[in-house]
Amino acid sequence: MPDEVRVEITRDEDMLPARAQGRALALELGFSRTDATLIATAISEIARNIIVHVGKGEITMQPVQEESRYGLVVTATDSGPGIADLDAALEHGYASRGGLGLGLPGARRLMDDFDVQSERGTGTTITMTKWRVRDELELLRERRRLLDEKHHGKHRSDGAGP
Amino acid sequence: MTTPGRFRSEYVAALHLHVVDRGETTLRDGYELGRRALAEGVSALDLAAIHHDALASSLEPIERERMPEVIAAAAAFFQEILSAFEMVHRGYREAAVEAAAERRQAAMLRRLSSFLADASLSARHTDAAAEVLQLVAEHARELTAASYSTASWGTGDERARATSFDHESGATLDPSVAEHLERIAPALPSRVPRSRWAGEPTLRALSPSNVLTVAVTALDGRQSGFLQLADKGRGDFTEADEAIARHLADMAAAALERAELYRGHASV
Repeated sequence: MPDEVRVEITRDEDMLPARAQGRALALELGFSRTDATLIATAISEIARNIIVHVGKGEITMQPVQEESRYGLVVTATDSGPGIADLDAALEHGYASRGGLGLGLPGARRLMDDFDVQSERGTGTTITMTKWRVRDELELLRERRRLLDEKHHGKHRSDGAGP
Repeated sequence: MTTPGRFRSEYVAALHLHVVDRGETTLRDGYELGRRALAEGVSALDLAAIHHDALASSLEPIERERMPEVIAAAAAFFQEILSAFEMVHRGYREAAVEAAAERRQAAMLRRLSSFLADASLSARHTDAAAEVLQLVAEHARELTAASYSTASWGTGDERARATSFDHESGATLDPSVAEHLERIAPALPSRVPRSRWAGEPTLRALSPSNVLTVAVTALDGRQSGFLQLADKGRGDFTEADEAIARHLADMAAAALERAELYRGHASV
């Protein structure tokens, strides 16, 4: 499993390493190029949210593994003023672009899970996850690899996934 | 929709740069161009045409054997362009689904309103109450995607109760559990999510995964019954579900009181 990655967000240019790291982790976890693009886009939207509305924050990307799926959990935190009207921000975006559905609602729609915790005067934490379900062949290969490692006490790479 | 010449020339320049650079910077430029296309009203068809022309011009100076890698790079760039459109498209789809659900809900409420008006005029009060409660229990269950619902009204000999199950999913609720739920209804918060059932010892033994309870209140403020819904198919009961249940409980109370009034007039 790849390591967690943190990117500090203070200016437009910081969007680049966040996008690049998110895309790289997604591909490493076996996501398709299309899903990796959607993840990079969602990261861009929440990074833009930090830059435009708060000025400073951090994006963390954490790979997770469950029995039948891999996930990439992206967490954006800031210590800004908090979101005054969370429902409106999630439904229509945060004022810009005339309610086209970009920004937070856009990111929410591109990811599988999306949660926002925001407190006035304390800050905002956005947690969003994209999942990739592992197919039966992949699971079978992993079981065989684990059995092999257990019996022979050595690592054998057979392309069973990250 | 016309395509501004400036957007077209910027697109061509950005794609040319990307097929050479192929890094995150030029992909980000693609994503920004896609956002701009949306804001400026450039259509998806125009974008496809611009991309095709830009790709053709990118390929002109390229040797044949390098073409596949340039085409692959251009495809990645086009995905970035379209990712902003994908966000908006998903928003439209979501809105369409919500609008359809609201239309369905409005139609069901209109139908229920007419049924309740008829039911409250039944010759016998007990029939009227049973019919009203049955109609409300069934509609509430269907509108909130619950597996089980119960509606009650009145006390003693005048007490009436109706239940409804989602027969298609084969849902059942142990009658003793249903009765227990009804007994503890006054003490229950309006919405008890799955996580709460697991955490409270007194409720843990109950089989429903989540419960929504609203009072059926008469016009003078008397709490005369309850509408309870259990086992929502997906997720927990939401604020919207609670609003629907309250609305239906109010409709039920109005119909039941109308039935009582009608009975009073008929007996005179």
